[in-house]
Formats: sequence, structure tokens, C-alpha cells
Amino acid sequence: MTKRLTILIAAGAAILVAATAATAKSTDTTITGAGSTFVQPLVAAWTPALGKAFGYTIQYSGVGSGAGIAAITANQVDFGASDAPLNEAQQTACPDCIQIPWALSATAVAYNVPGAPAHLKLDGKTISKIFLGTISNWNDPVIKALNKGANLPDLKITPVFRSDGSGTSYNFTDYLSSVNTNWKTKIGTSTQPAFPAGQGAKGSSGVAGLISRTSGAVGYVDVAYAIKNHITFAAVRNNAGKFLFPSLRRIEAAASAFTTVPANNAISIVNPPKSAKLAYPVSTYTYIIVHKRSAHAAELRKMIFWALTQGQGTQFAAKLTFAKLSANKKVLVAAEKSLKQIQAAGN
Amino acid sequence: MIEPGAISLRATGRGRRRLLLNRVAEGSAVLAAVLAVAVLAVVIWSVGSRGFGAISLDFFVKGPSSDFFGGKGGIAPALAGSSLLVGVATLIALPTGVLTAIFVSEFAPGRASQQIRLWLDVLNGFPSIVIGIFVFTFISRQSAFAGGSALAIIMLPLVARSTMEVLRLVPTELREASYALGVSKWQTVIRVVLPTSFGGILTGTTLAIARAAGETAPLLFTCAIAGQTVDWNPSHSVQSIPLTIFNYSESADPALHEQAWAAALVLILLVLVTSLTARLVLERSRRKVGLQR
Repeated sequence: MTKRLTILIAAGAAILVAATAATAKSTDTTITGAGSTFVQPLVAAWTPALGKAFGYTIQYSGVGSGAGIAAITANQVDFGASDAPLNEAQQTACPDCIQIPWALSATAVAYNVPGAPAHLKLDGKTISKIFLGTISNWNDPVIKALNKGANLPDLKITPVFRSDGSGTSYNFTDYLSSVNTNWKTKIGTSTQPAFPAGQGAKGSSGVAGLISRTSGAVGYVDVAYAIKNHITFAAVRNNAGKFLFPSLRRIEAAASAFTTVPANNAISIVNPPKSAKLAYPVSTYTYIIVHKRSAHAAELRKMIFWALTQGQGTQFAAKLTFAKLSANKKVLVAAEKSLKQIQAAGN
Repeated sequence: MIEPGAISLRATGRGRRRLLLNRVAEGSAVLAAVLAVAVLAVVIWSVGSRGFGAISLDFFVKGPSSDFFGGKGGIAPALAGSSLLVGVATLIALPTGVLTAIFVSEFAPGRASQQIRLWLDVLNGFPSIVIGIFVFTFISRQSAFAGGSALAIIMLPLVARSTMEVLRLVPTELREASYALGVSKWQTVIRVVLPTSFGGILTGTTLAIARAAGETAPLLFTCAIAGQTVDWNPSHSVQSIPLTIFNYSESADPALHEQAWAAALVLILLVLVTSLTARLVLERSRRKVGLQR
């Protein structure tokens, strides 16, 4: 009997040794991250390639931009990812956090209306009124006027929004604030806006799921999720008067319309001026957020540089509707410059 | 002498009512018992029929696909993570629980042992979400170690209470025989009492493991921000089966819904197998104690 007990203790010790051995081996190369579900498919596509290039294991958790910022602020992870730049309070909470734009894409206005055309035409005012609840039926004359000849049913509109803190919400409300002053004063731009109407869902995937399950729903989600779940999305009118649905060229057109990059890298590219004829108006940069002093500084620098350069390659980005950062050289230069600020912790 | 037929053997009046009531009560008791078992059967069947289609070799050995548009992938990170979490929890709860039980049943004075028993039962009924928050306030960085600690708190009363029960089953004669040979008390505990109740301790631990493997709430705060590949590092936050079920069920992708059901099926089977094995082992060790008597 004592023999058995000895065996048990030996087995326990063996497990402990194995566990510590595994720890020693993996701490060198594992980089943890959390945040945006918007950029999650891209990070997932990068992960195997980064493994091959540097031997890094990226452990990324799509918990939403808001939770990602909280996680990097609390040092839970090596990097956070957010489609919204840090706001003042968040920057104060994490004074040595810097944000670096590392991908470029757009938010689609996706809908589930049986019988409606593949790309309904909508403009910013109409979208904002739908989400304010003042336009509440798909056969509303305003929508009909934008879509002459389209078959629009007598169907209640169910706006679908992100219930968790989300950079996609930020991007979307940033756009609505820029086209509708009423929206700007009532709701404003936020990662967690107080939507007056509709239903909430968690994560990009949750929003896509709720839209595809709900007849009459309209929501905002990044393009890749809409395409994956076979949800139709709107052609949104830009300032040049063109109705465009998001595509690589149109996102790049929006990015190149804004030429100044502020010191904190926060660049809003919604609702570009008239001159950008081909620009999709709900485009956004998405950011990686890191501490200037990081235990994995060298690895992070390498990883982010790779993401800014090779990571933009068509084999990763294009099919997920992520446009090339080089569409705006100034942003790329600013991003690469910011990398130098990441330094090893402890000096 | 009373003529046959003068007294009817049929119950009448109050007797009849009692008989009827008895039947109704017995019937509903049987029905309730059948229902309780039926619920289990229905749960297993409905989870099985929905999730069985997703089960393949890939489901067990692969992580979520890195290709957003295609490739099903599997739940290997969750399986590894749950094993790691339960492993950490067992390493903490098993020694603590067994030592608690030994103290209570062998060394503590009567009143103290009664108190400890009571508080262990209270801990056993504690809401698991509170335990999660509690651990999070002490270890604010999410990790498998934090998650395992939370699960250990859930396992601790189960291990301790079941160990107490089996220690009580160890015949007094065995202890007396040991003392009679001049063996000291602690040696008696280690050499005689513990080995005799080995099977019972194993059973209690296995049941506690089955319980911990299915816990979701304590992990929400302590081990939820996790990557998509297998990770054996206890200082990292890892995936777990229950949280994977939760996350996948909220997704838009029907393939992930099916995987959520399949993960639930795996969890149920895991719990069923461990519980049944535990019972078998307990039965065996009971018989052994009986023979030694």
C-alpha cells in the first residue's frame, strides 16, 4: 500500500517537473494578445506564418476591443488590439501604452431583408435614423427613395449592435457622428454607445449571428464576418455622392484621403471629403496597443514589423478584406517609427 | 363464529381513502424517480444527437482553424487547457483536502471537527462565481494557475468530506492493532489508515475532478483571455471546455454551434466515465476493507 502511495507521489512530482519544463520552454516564444474581434481573423492567419518566421507562438483572444484595452492596461497580455484609438481616460489609465496602426479595413452595414437587393443603397443620415429608431420599417419612404424599384417589404427594422466594448462600434458611431449632428449630440462616438433602439450581441461573430437569424435586422460588422456568414451589406453613399460597398480599393481610397498623422497615431478615416471619389465612408484603421516597457519588447518589435510589412501581403489580408497599410505611406512610416519606442522592461 | 361473507375484506370508508392515497403517493414518487433519470437520458441524447456529427480525429487533435473562411478545426486547446486546469486544481486540493480530513477524523477534538465539517459543507454550497471573483482579487493576472486555484477551492470540500467518510470506515480494530504493536499515532495514520482508505480517497478526488472539469463561472474571471493553440504553460491563460462551449454557442457559424454541442458531449462523457469509474473503485475498496476486518 505504501508502494502505491509512493508511486502516486512520484507521478505527481513527474507531472510538476514536466509542467515546469514546458513553462521554461514556452515563455521564450509565446506572445499573448487580446482584443478586437475585427482583426482576429487576420491575426489567426498571421499566427502560423509568424511561427514559421520567428518561432513565435501567438496566443490571441478575441474578447472585443474594450476588453483588450483593459487586458493590456492590467498587464494581462503582451499586446492589446483595438479598432478604436485609446480615449483620454484609457490613455491616463495606461500612460505608457502606445498604439500602432497595423491593419486597415472597413465596417459593413449588413442587413437581413428577404427579397431585398444584394447591396441596398443607404446614406449616413438614413443609417443614423435607423439606429436612432426614427426609421423603423424597411418600406419607409426614405429608404424607398434611395432604392428606386427595389422590392422592400413591410417589415420592422431590428437594429443590431455590439453589446461589448467594441472598436467596430467606435468606427460606426464615429461615422454617424460625422454625418448627423443629432447623433453626435445624443449618442456620440464611443466603443460602448447607448443605442436607443435594437438588440445587442457579443463580438463580431455574435452580431453576424444575430443578423442572420433575425428577419428585418440591420447591423454593423467588419466585412469578412458578413461575407463568411453570407449576409448582404449596403452600399453606403460617400461625400462624392457615390453608393459604394466596401472593397480593398475603396478602403485604400479612404485611407489615402487623410494625410496628417497625429503624434498618438489616432487616425480617423470616416466620411472622407468629396475629393476622394472612390472612398468607402466607414473605413477604419485598427491598432495594436503595447506598453513602451515590455518584457517581450524585442519579440513585439519583430512581430509588429512583420505585420506591417509581410503581414500586409495579399495571401493574408486581401481575402479578409484588409487593405494594404501602404495605401497611405505616412501612416506606415509613423507606425514603423513608433516601433522604436518599445523597449525592454527593467531599465 | 362469524359467517363467511359477513365481513368484507374490501377496504371501505377511511381505510379505502388511505389505500388510495397510498397508491397516489407511491405512484408520484415512482414518477418523480423516473423523471429524474429521464432528464439525464434526454440531456445525453439531445446533446449527443446534435454534437455527434462534429466528432472526428481532427476535433480532438487540432485547434481552431487559422483559415477564417474554411477548415473546421477542433478543440484541442480546450481539452489541453481543461486537463491543465484540473491538474493544477488537483495538485492543490488533493493534499489540502486529505490533510484536512486526517486532522478532522484523527486528531481534532470533537467540537472543532464538528465545526470544520460544518464550514466545509458551507464552502461546498458556495456560489462558484463568488469563488472566481475571490481568486481574481488575489491573483489579478489571468492564468491557468489562477483558474486552477479557483477550481481547487471548489474541489477542496468535496475531497475533504469524502475522505472523512472513508477514514471513518477504517475499522477501529486496525488502528488498535497498530497501537498495540507500539506504532505511534502519525505512523498509524500514514501506514495503516491512509493505505486502507486509498480507494475511497481516489473516488472522492475523481468525483471532485468531474465536478471541477465542468465548472464555468470560476474561470470567467481567472482564465478567460486565452489563445487559440494548445498551451501547457500554467502561467498563461488557457482555453477550457466549458468556456469554449459558451463562446462557440454565441457564434454565428453553424459549424461552431455543432462543435459546441460536440464539446458538451465530450464533457458529459468525461464526467460520466469518471463518476462511474469512481463508483467501481469505491466498491472494490469497500470490499477490501470488509475482508481485512
